[in-house]
Amino acid sequence: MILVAAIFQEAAMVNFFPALMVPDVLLVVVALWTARIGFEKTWPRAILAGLMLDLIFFWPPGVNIISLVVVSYLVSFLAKRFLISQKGWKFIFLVILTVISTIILHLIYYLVSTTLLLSENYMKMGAESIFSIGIIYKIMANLVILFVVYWPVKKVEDFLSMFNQSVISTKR
Amino acid sequence: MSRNYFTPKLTKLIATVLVCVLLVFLNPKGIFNPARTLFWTASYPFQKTFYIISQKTRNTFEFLGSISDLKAENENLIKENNNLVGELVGLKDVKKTNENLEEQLKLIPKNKYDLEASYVIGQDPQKLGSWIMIDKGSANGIAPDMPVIVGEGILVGKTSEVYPYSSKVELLTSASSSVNALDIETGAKGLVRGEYGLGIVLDMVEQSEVLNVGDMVITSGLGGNVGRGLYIGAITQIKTSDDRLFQEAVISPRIKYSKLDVVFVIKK
Repeated sequence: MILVAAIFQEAAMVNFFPALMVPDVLLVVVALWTARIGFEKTWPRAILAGLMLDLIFFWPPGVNIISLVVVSYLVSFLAKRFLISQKGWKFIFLVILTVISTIILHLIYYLVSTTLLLSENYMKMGAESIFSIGIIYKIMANLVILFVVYWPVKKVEDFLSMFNQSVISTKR
Repeated sequence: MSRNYFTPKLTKLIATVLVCVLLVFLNPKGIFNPARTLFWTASYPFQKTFYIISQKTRNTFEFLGSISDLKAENENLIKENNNLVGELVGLKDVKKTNENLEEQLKLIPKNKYDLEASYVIGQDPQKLGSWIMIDKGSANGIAPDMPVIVGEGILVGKTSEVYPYSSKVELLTSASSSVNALDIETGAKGLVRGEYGLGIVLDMVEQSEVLNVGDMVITSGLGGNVGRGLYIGAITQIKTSDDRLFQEAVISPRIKYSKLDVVFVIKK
């Protein structure tokens, strides 16, 4: 699923969204996972997702891993304190989480690219969008993706937990 | 009792961040190349499928959206066609002059290229015109630093990283791209480089050289694998560099890099 989401972000999304607005599909998926199943279960997936993105973006390995793991930690921190059981409010909270995650992700890109003086200019360009109107577009695009992936991610998680339970009960 | 701030969650976070900072900071050259090769080889079929399907879907929506404009467009085309018939007569003369010029400039005849047609199967998700992925790799005889063109010889970039079934093409608009070029009308030589994915400039042109708005810029064939005579674009603006040593010209490419679907790699 991580591989598919990563390729989807790089190969399909670029055809549907205009410049500087290509959504961070894996960020939204990682934030959703964390809100649903917590940091403990999500962080290995965040590492894998980050690695995929580093491979796809041709960035130095580690940048996206740091970003996604930190986002996952902060989402889990916020989710534990504020996640509400009522369905409508829960979704609004997820929208807020997506907005915060997007800002954090691009802030980390900016910090990493400036503090570690990476030579990749395209990466610096992407990072600069945190201080421009580009970040608003990114947030909007990520919210669109949240609406699109919310249900599939929920279904896949439900299926996986059911599958795990049946495997455990069969072993017993 | 003192509170334990280092919860298992925080320890995992700190450990991951430290390892990654070390990886980013040291940035060991090539350590992840086998992983990247494996990734691009494994993801190639999915990537090609996703890209082509999404592109076709976008084209369909664009077509549906443009239906209402078709009538007006058709009327304009008829008018344009009538004008073009008139222009055609004049162009026959220009063609002859052009052939003479090509011979004088020793441009590479297009039919002499050993071309490898490739589909674009991915591009920089940051959408900054930095690079594209194509569906041909070392298995098809592609090597790094080969020029990539569209149409009748319009240069779009060079291959930079080659995998068995796919290759990364660094576009002319990429900040890391540079190609030797010349103004076809005045012969002024310079270096074409990308402007962070936003455009192309002809840089390092000496003050004594002449540049004019509207002049065509082609590759000069000096250095590297890019031969002479590949079209880059037309000059739209001329500036002087900050140190006033060189002239700089903003070049408008003839094609939109985000809309590329088929490109040709020049193997020889």
